[in-house]
Amino acid sequence: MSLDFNKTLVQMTDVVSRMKTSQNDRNLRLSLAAKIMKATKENDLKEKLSLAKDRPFLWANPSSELGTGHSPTELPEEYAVVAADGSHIDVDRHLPVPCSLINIGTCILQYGTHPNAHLSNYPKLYSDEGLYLTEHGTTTREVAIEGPVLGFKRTIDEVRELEKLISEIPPTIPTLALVDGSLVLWGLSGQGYPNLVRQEFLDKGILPILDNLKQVAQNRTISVAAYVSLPRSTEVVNALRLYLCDTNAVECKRSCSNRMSPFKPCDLPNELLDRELFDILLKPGQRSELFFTNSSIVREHYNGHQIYFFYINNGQEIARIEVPDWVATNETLVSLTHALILDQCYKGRGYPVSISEAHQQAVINGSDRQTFKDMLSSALTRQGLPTYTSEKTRSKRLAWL
Amino acid sequence: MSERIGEIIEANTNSFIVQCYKLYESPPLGSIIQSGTPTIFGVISEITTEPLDPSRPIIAIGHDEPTEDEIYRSNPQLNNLLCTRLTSLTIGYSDGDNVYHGFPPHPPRIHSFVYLSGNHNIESLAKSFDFLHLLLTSGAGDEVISACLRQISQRVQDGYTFLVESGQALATELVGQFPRLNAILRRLS
Amino acid sequence: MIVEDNMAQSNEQSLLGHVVSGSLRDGIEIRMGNQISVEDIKEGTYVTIHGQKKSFFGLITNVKLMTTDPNLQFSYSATDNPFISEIISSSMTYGSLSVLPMLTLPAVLGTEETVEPAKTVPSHFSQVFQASERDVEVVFGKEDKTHFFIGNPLDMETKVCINLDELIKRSSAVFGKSGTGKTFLTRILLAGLIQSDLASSLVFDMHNEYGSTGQDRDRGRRVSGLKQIFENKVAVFTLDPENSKRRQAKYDFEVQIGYDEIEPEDIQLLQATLNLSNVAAEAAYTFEAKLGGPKKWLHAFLEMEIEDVYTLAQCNGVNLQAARSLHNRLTRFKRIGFMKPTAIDDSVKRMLDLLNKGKHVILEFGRYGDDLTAYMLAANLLTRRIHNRYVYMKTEAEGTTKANEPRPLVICIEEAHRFLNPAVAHQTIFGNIARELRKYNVTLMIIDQRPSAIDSEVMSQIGTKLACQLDNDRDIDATLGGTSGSRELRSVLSKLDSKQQALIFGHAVPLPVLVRTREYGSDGSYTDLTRPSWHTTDFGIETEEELEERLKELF
Repeated sequence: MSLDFNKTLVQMTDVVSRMKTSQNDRNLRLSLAAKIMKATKENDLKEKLSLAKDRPFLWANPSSELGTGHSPTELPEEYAVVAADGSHIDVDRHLPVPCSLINIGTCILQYGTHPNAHLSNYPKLYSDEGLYLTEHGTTTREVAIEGPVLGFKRTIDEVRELEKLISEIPPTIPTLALVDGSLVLWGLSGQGYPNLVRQEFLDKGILPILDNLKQVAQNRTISVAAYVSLPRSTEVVNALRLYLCDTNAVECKRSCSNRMSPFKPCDLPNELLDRELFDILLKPGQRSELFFTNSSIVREHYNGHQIYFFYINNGQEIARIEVPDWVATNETLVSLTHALILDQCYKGRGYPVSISEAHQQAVINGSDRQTFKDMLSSALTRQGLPTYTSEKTRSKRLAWL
Repeated sequence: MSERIGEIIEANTNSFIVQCYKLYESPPLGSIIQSGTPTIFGVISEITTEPLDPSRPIIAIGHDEPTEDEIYRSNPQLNNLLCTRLTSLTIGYSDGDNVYHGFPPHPPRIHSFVYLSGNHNIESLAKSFDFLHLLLTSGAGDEVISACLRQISQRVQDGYTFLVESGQALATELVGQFPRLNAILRRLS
Repeated sequence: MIVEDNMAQSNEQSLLGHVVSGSLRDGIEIRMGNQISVEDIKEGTYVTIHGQKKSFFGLITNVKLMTTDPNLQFSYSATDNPFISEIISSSMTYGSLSVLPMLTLPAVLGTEETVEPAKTVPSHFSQVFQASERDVEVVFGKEDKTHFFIGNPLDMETKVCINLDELIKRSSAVFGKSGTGKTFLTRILLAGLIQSDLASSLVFDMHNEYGSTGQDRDRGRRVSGLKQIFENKVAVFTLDPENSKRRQAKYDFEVQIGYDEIEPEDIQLLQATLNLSNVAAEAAYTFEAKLGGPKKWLHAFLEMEIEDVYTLAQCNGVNLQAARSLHNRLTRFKRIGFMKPTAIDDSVKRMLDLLNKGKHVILEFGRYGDDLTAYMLAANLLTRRIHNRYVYMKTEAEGTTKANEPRPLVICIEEAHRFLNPAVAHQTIFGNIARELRKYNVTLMIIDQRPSAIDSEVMSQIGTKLACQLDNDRDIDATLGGTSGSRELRSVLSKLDSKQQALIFGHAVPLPVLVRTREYGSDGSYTDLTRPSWHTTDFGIETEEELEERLKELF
């Protein structure tokens, strides 16, 4: 039976009408918050914020003022952009043989006197032991690589791929490596996963990659960045909140949430998002100041690699760009990253073209998924092994009457 | 043997579709190409440039570029995402020794390499005008026919005589359709 | 091998095209090949068609322009584009010939098969060639004793020969407007007869053109007469010796006609010329009866005074006016020089003797050629008497060998319509002779410019016609009347040159042929006539005595 649009529409209409009433109030607060951000002085800010500890929200540390916008610099004559994106088929209970597939799509774009492009994808199939993370030294403590864990694996594969892609470009050409999403493995914070997982994806995963990249950066001009479109982050809003806050930490912890505060004046930025603020603060093409994240994962487990971020107005939206510290502290690299990302967004009409092409390479659509299952069945049949599928799958395949 | 221009991606008894290796690099309309073993000859009746992935539409992106070339320079991925395809109407085949006009007993295989036919084969094909009848009844369009004849005339020994003889053959085929004949002859002159 | 020879030779000739449609009745349509220009093909020339089993010989009667697409004439302009012009002219336009298939030729030469009239048509796509010299020769026969060279087909050097045997088997005719060469053609025909010795001829030379020197008005020169060319073979008789002498024309005998030779029949013939009414002409019979019979009546009648005539008329129930006009007209006879109460000599007997010996007689009229009455009277009378003699001789010879039969005689008369028009055809001797065919070994050769005036029954008895240019539709119709293929021939006939061209059809030729008549008037032409290619000795120069001498020398 198809979706009952009548019933859904009624509910949608209620939501939207509620939005309207709160909209005006919100707009006023936004413009006020923006004004304050513009007016903050670096020293004041740093002073107040560095004293702050132990709040029930995550705030970012600004490297200078909150509200400053920086215009982009000129593009170099020759440059290259590489991107990697992934897609996966999760372990499917309905398959005759449990397995998963990660497909990494890559895109190399070279600009200048010898424009060039290279698009590709690399599928990798996992089965049997490949479906589990086993603790070193044991045979039974294991975690299944599926669901969000498979997602982590994919992210690591994507970033790892960037290393390879960079090596394809002649070292004299400034290169930007892009990936969609975040350099911070947010999901690994908290106690959700055993150490095993953290070890696999941080110690054996992203950290070595970040080390390598830092090494490579010593010998050539490269930048690495993660691009988040339509970011829902409130790290800068919360920094503002902290700046405005008169209440002590204990009170705050008791009453406030990540989203809002009941006290004045720090209730000003309630429910506001970073991107909304920067939409006012940044002119098209401008980037914000650099911030570094206070995420516990980074603080505790990134082994010294600090992840910075900034916002950029690419003309269509406000995007969040995350960069490693060796990029963030290098003025040239920051400018390069800014200019190149803008160019990519322009060419991609609002989203970096290299990432979208890498995504196109990676994507596994519905018919591909079906083909994957069919191929599996054929392979089994050829080997004389039984194939079977769940009745649920069979009923999904043929919607018979 | 001339350079490979592409591969067959679709084939049936009376036509085949070639994807060219290089974007925009295809022989002109009306050229005679050959492919497969046994060799099959065809006339290029349509050249299309389109996205490799049919689900991805092409949109105009060069509003701020000063020239068309700049668009390609600024978007090098276009060369990877677009392709040039040819449709070719089959006009003959060879068994190694002789060249015959008409449809072959079997179509060529997918992924057969495609080459531009050399002067020797074109001379053999041009010895008789049976292929004209095939082209006229294939729904190719008169532009294809005149392009093909012009192409052949540039490759055979006495091009002018060939054109005159092909005009005479057309006159016989197009009895009662003088305006159509006249239009084709204008293209040839 | 012979077939191959034939074919090989054909390939050397120009291939004109191939047969695409047609019928025996309406002619064959031939699609011309593009290698030949329409402008090079003439109506009236011959083609050979190589059918599947036999060859056909035919006459081109029409040349047409055709296109494969009728729209072409509206949509196309030749000046546009030379490339397109070349293609269209070589593929969409073509010439078409209409050909009358007339004969079938033997597929293999030298066999029993002969040339025959075509009874069928060649098959589709049979190849068509311009007739070769050899083909024409096969059809028309080579020049020999019975085949007389009369002229050449258009644009060819081959000799067209008429079969003299066939020519004299029936009466023949030479038609044409004045000034189109009838006289020349007749001279040539007579020369042929003299040359071949197949028959004797008696020529009523109205305008003194045949015997002695005549005039070639076009070229402004004098041409020899038959007497000058053939000398001893020809005897010239004259009705007007004074005139002949004045013209320095040699003659052999003088002819006179006595009143006692004239019969009422002759008067009847002259009715129109003498302007006599029916009654008046018929009155002659009455007077003949009353005035002493055939030999005496005219003399007596002419000697009578007019009052006596009236009396006689009244007594015998003859209308007075009629009688007077009759007397009046007949008195004219007195003024005709050669008319005497009694002739000095039996000219007829003389003529007959000569004719029997194989000589040819030409009767000059001198100044009387312009007098229609004199001409008609003399011609009719002499012919009647000669004919009577022939009838007698032929009847006598019946039952015995052929050698006893009188020698064939051809009587040549000009202005034939005077003698043969529907009104008098049944009464004149000429009409009789025409109708008799060759019953008594006498046939006519009539020369005329108004064939439409000749009785149609007479016309139908004419075996061979030689037509020079005619421009009157009725004359053309009369000439062609009843001939097969007359519709196509009509076109050819109406386009004849005004000089030196004739269309010959009938029994003496295997098929209608358009010829350029042979030369007559140059020195070479005389030699050709006296010394034809097939004869080793030349004759006409030797008299009988000289011939005997020669023979003596030999033995």
